[in-house]
Amino acid sequence: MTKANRRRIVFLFLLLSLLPFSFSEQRLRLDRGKKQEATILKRQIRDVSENWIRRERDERYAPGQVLVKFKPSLRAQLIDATLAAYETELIRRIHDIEVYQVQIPSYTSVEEMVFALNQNPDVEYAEPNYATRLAVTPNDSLFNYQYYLYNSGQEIGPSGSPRGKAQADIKATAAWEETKGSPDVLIAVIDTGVDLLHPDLKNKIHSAGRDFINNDFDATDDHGHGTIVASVAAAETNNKEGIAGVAWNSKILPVKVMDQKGEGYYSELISGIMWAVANGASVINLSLGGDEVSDSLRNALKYAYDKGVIIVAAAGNDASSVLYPAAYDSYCLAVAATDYKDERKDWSNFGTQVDVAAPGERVVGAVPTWFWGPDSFPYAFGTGTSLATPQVAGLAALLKGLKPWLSVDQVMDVIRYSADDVNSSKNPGKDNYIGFGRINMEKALVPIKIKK
Amino acid sequence: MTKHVHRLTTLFLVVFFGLTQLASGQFRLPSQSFKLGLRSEYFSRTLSSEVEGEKPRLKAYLVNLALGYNLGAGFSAAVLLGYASSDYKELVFRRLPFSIDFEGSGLSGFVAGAEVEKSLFSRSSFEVDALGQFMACLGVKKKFTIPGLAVPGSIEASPSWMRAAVGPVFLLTSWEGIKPYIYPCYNYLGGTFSLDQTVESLEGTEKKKIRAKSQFGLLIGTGLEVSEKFELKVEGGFYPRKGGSDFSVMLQALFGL
Repeated sequence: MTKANRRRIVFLFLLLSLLPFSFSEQRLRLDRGKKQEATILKRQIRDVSENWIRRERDERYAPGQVLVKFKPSLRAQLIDATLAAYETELIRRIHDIEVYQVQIPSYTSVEEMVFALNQNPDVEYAEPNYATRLAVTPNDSLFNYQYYLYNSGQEIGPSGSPRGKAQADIKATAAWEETKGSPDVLIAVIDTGVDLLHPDLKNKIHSAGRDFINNDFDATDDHGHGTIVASVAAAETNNKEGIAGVAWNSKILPVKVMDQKGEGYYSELISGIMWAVANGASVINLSLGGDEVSDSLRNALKYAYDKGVIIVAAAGNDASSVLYPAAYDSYCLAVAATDYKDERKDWSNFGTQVDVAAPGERVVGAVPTWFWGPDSFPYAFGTGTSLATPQVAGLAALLKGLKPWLSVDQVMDVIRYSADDVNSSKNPGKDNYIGFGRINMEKALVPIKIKK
Repeated sequence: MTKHVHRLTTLFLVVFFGLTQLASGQFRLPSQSFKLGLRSEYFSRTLSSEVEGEKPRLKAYLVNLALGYNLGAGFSAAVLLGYASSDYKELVFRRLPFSIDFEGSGLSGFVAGAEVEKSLFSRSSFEVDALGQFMACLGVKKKFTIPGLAVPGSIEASPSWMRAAVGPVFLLTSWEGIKPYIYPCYNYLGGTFSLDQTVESLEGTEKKKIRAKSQFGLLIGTGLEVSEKFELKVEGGFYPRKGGSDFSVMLQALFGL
C-alpha cells in the first residue's frame, strides 16, 4: 500500500468515525459557521440516499407510448399498414420477440389506444410502456466492510457501527477456494450504466456496452446505481484496492436502460435484455423493476431464458408485492434482502415468487468517481434488494463458469436449494419472505462432504 | 469396466466348469488335488486424481471362498467368490449439479475372481512360478442423504472395480512346511464409480473412472503347511507410488479335499 493510499484510508477512517455523532451534533454545528460546510455535505449524502429509496413515481408508464405485438402470421407490410391505420409512429422494433414500441397520436390516451389495438384480431397484445424504477440506495461512503461476503461478527462500518452476526454471510471466501469464476462468463448489468473508468471496475468491463437512453454504445453511469450494483457482482478482486466482487474473474457487460434520475421504461429494459442476450451475456442482473405486468417484458425474459441466460432480479423495497420482472417466476430468480444478522428486512418485498435472499443492508460497493466529488473515495454503502441481487448474480456467474453444462433451471435450482433457511424458526421451509433462504455460496460451489 | 466384468465372468465360468469337470472325475485326476478354504484380504490404495492436492483412496475388506485345484505338472488354478466392503475417501464428483466429496464407507459388493499359477522351473532350494490373478467387485447400490440443503436430497452410489496382477513368484523351498516367497507384479486396480444425484427436481449422474496410482506391487508372503490337508498363506503387499506407498495384507486357509 502506498503512503498516499494509507493516508487516504486513515483520513477516511477518521471522517467515518465521526459519522455516528453527526446527527446529534447537527444543530450545534449549524450554529458554528466554520463547521457548517461539513455538516451540509453529510446531509447531502443522506438526502441523496433517501431520495433514491423513497422516490414515488408519478407516472406508471411512458406518456404517449404503447408496446404492440402482432400475431406471427402477419406480414411486415400489413404490420406497417396497421400501425399507420392507427396513426402511430414507430419508435423502435424489438427484434426476436417482435414487439413494436410506438408513439400514439396526441388526441388519444394510452388507455384508449391499448383498448383499440387489443380489439384488432391481428394484434396478439398491446400494452402501455410501463415505468421501471430502482430498487436500492447507496447512502454512505466507506471502504472494505463487506460483511456480506464474510461475517465474523465484526462491526459492519466505522467504529460504533452495529456488529454483524458471525456466519450471517454468503460464505464467499469458502466458495472462492473452489472457483473464482471464468472471464468467459459475462454478467450483464442492466441498470443506469456503469462507471467504465472506475479503478475497481475498469479491468472488469467487457465493453463500453449499450446505452438505450441516449441511444449510443457508451453505457457510462450518470446516476450511480448501476456502478455499485456492478461492483458488488464483479469488482476487481485481490487488487489491493476497493472491494471484492462476488465473481472474481467474470466480466461486466454494462447496459444502460435508466436515465440519470434513475428512471426508465419497459421498452428500454426489454431492449437491454435482448441486447445483452445477443452480446454474449451468461447472467443478467436486474436490480430494478416495475409494478405492472407486461407480456413484452415476460417475452423478453422468456427469450433470454430460452437462450440459456440466467436472470436475477430484485424483489423490490416497498414492503409489498414482488416487482416485475422478478415476479416472472419461471424465468428468473427473485431476490429478497436480509441483513448483517441474517434477519429479513421488513422493507423487502414478498410473495410466492421470492426465490432466495442475500444481505441487502449496508452493502459496501463502488460508486462513480464523480459521485462524492473530486478526489473523493468512490465507495459507498447501499441498502436494498438491488444490492442483494448482484450477489446472487455473482454466484450464478461462478456456477456457470464452473459448470457450463448446467441448464438455466439447474443453476437456479442449485442456488435455491443451497440456501440457508435463516428464518426457519418463524417460517420453516420455503416462504414468501426469503424464499428458500439466504444464499450460501459454499454449499452451491464447494463439493459437499458425504461421510457415513 | 462392463467389458472387463464380462470377460472376468467368462473366465470365472470357464474355470468353474473346468473344475467341476475335474471334480466329476472325467479327467481321472486324484480328488485330493482339490482345496477349499477362505481368503481374507484388506488393501488400501491411493487413486489417481486430476485435481492437485486431492488424494482419493479406496480401502477394501474382502472375504472369499477359495476353491483351488492342482492340475499337476506344476499347474494350479483357483476360483474365488465372496463379499467386499469398500470405503472411499476424497472421491470428488464435480459434474453433478451439487458437487460431492464422497467419503462413504461400507459399500457392499460381490466379488468373483480367479488365479492361475504355473511352475516355470525349480531347483533344490528354490522355485520360480508365474502367477496371474483377476478379481472383480460388483458394488451394490447404496443411498446417502445430502446434508444441509434447503430441500431433501440424496445420492446413490454404485461402485465397481477390478484388479489384475501378473508376475513371477520366487519361492524358497529349502525348508519343510514353510515356503516363503516374493511376488513382484504388475498390479492394476481400476473401475468406475457412478453417482446418481436427486435433489427435488434436480437430477444428475456422474460416472467416474477410478484407477490406483501405483501399478506395481511387491508382495511378500509365506505358505505354511500346518498338516497334510491344511495349509495357511500369509502375505503383505507394498505398492510404491509417488509420495508414498500403499499396502495390502492377506490371510488364506485351505483344506485339501
